[in-house]
Amino acid sequence: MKIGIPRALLYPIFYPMWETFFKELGHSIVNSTRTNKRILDSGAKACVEDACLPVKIMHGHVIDLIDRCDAVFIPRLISISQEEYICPKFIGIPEMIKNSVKPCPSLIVLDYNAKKSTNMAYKGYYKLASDLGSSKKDIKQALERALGQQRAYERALLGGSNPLLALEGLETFSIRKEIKGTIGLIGHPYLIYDRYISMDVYKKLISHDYRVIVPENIRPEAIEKACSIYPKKLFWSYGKHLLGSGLYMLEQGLVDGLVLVTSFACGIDSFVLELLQRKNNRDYKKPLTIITIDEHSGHAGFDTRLEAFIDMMEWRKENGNNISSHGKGLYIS
Amino acid sequence: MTGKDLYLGVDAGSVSINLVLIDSRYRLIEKLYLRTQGRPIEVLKEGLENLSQLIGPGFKIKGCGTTGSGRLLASALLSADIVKNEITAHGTAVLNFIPEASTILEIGGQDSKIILLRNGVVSDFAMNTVCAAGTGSFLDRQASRLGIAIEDFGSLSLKSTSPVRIAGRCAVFAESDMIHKQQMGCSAEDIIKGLCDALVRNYLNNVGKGKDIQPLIVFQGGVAANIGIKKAFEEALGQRIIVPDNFEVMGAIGAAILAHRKAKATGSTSFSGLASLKKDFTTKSYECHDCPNLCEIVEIRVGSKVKAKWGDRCGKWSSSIESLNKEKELNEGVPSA
Repeated sequence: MKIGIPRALLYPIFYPMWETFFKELGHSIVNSTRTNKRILDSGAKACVEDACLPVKIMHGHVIDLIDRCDAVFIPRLISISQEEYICPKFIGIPEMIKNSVKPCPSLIVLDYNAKKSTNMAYKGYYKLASDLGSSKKDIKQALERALGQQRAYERALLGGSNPLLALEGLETFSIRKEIKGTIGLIGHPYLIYDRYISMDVYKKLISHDYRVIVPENIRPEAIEKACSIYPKKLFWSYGKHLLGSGLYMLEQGLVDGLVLVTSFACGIDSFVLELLQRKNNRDYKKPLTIITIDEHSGHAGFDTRLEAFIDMMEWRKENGNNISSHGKGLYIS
Repeated sequence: MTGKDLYLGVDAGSVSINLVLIDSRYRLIEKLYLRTQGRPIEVLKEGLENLSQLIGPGFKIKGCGTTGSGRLLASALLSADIVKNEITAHGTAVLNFIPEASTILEIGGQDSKIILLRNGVVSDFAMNTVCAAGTGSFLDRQASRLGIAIEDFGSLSLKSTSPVRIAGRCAVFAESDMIHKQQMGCSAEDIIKGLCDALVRNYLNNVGKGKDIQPLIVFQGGVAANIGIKKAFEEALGQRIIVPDNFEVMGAIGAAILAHRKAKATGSTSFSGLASLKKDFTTKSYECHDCPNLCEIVEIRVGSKVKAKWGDRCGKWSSSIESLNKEKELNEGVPSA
């Protein structure tokens, strides 16, 4: 069977797992085209109006796969970590697509729910693959291999790679001159690893001669620990991921500044980016900017903000007195 | 005053194109504030012609800087020494003229910004996000709805005795709220004051959210001409607000200062001269079909020579210009500018 995998939503995080799983079971894989204007336009047109940009993009990728495969793989990620949830839009994705994409291709839906335990979540893979006619024994083996691939991928990310380098084949740039510093790039994986909708923010930062670190480089235990300063558990997995990795980068002095990328009307980001910004303003005073993206295709506004941010970082650095002996900023008002 | 060195700053914004000439001690020699009217190239040409008449012979322009959303276009036409974003340009200008300033409120046609200055540098900034609520175009729109010239807007608002509350989150909400208040019989002055308050509230809640607004506060950009908005800011912040003399061209002044610094550091200028725009400039835009991104490419030509290209995500057109021009020069024997 030829299975189409949309390059959208959590594709940059779980692709090695999905690809290996289906290939091990004897299926072939077709990827949707990388996000482009046509995908954005067709997705925005098909999707309900009030959805966020990444959900619209997902619709566009499904449309891109029509007639190119036997069925499109749609993961319904309910929870990816114990006692946590991810954005409710992910739970409704298969239904949104069924109702909005016309004619709708046949869908293979994975129900993945790790709220109770990760082992429970694997049941979703068994259900999906046995519906496709695989034996329990084959599924078990495929799942083990897929998990092996996924763990190797996650190790590579923790080792300093990122999905753009590891999956999208973006070449590591040779930084022309000496590295000017390190910027933490914080945002949902479907934003910062999509070169089209993120206006290529990663490459733009690198081409200003900065090293860029991303949330996927930070160990989960470190994220957990960084978030323990809050009185309540953060039950949105990605909210915690972004906030915790940002806090960790600030706490450990890994970055000279933070660039936060969010899509317009993201409910989770409205909380966590605010928390991160407040904590930075109070304790670290590092250069920080939030850039909101939507369906814009003009780069001018985005580039202005990014250039101003880089200028500000360099200006403050030149000024010299923004770092005290405690490693904290001196921009105390 | 002959033989004096001047520096040109151009702020090519969405609503106006501002040109300034300063001397090497950053004194303002000339300023022009021109409405863009959707034809930036023609307006820029007219502006430069005016400038060269105003200053007469004997002056030499030793550097040129551009800023604003049209900074790339302006730089391509003028061969500017430096192209800078508006935040850096405004920050540079204020730090030079009002070094004790801590906060810049800047409201232009499509953009609004807040810039925090600490220890002589820009330490934080924010710009409006995806919508233009809280900017000059919001006021323009509402003024024309009320049939009032935007120039009279500020003085009318000062006559208000009991301002009405207008929903300011969105221009569409504001408009319907305003109509309801009109139908109820509220006076135009009170509605205008309500609009000024709504804009300020919107600005402080969005652009200024979480920012530590410390005195001295400087208010600039085209909207700073509106005394009603200045007053509304003073009431909302409980602070005195300073509007600098050349509030409407501060971005251009910043660009000129940066050009002076650049020219001083390099010892030369790439500026093509005030007469350079007499040449025949043409622009063309097309969709590149080499990949599914379908980027909108803009091409600027001087005669048959392609001077600049941009809009491509991959960089193949924008980076092709230098080699392309060299090739052309070899073929046609055109001397380089």
